[in-house]
Amino acid sequence: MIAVLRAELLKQRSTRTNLGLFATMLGLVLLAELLHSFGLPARDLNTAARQLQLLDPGVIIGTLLAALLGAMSITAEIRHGTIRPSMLVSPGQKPDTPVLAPAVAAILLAVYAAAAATTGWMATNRRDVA
Amino acid sequence: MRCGAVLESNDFHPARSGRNHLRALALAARIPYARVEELLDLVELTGAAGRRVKGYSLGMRQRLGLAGALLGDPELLILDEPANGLDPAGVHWLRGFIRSFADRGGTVVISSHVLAEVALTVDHVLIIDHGRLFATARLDELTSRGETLEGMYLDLTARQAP
Repeated sequence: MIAVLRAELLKQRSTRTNLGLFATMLGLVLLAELLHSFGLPARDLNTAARQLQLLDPGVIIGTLLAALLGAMSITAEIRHGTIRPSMLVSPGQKPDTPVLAPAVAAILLAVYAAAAATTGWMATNRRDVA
Repeated sequence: MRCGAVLESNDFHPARSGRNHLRALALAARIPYARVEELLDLVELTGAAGRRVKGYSLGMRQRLGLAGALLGDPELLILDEPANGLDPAGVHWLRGFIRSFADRGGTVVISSHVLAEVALTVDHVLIIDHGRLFATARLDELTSRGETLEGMYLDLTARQAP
């Protein structure tokens, strides 16, 4: 599974549309963080928990764009027929499922969403240090 | 048995380069990138490997697909209409490639409707029409009475048609 996942990650990196979307994701997350950080008065940031809540808008925007990337990589495999060579080249993977590559992409997405959710959870459950 | 196959001639993401297409397959099959360069060289695509597949001709796509099928160094190669869309030089190259693959001990299974082309390449013929196997023989046995493969095919399928 690791090998297929690595292949899937190369596919993500190897088209301009995807690179553009990654750059957009990064840019929008940074912008949201910056606006949020500078837009809040200092007294709203007096505890660690509140400071960590600054991450929330970035997490939401990042998750949305990750969902978009996941959906696009799933549909591109079907649309362009790359699912055929993808399946042929890893015959031992999961012979019972004809949706290996989209599943892998979905797993990537799920891993990202989980990471985002964890960050969100950490942000809201962190104890005050002040 | 290691097996490679080209089932469609256009299974590529148009925005991905030929090299990255092969590299993605190589990663999934745990094959080193050096093998990708070797095959790009073999199918004469090294010069175009960095370009997006969108700009490839049909012949280039056929050869890229072939390179993908050869990644795992197969003993059995399955090709569906491999000469489709190739220019005369490409057809000549393909014929030479298939011959040398077989001469090195490999087996190539070709499915094709272009019988004149097939007759120049293959050793053994299976004639299948509407899902029924009509004949299986060496090409030289089948055409020993001076018949062409095409004539043989039409003859066999016409006689046994319902």
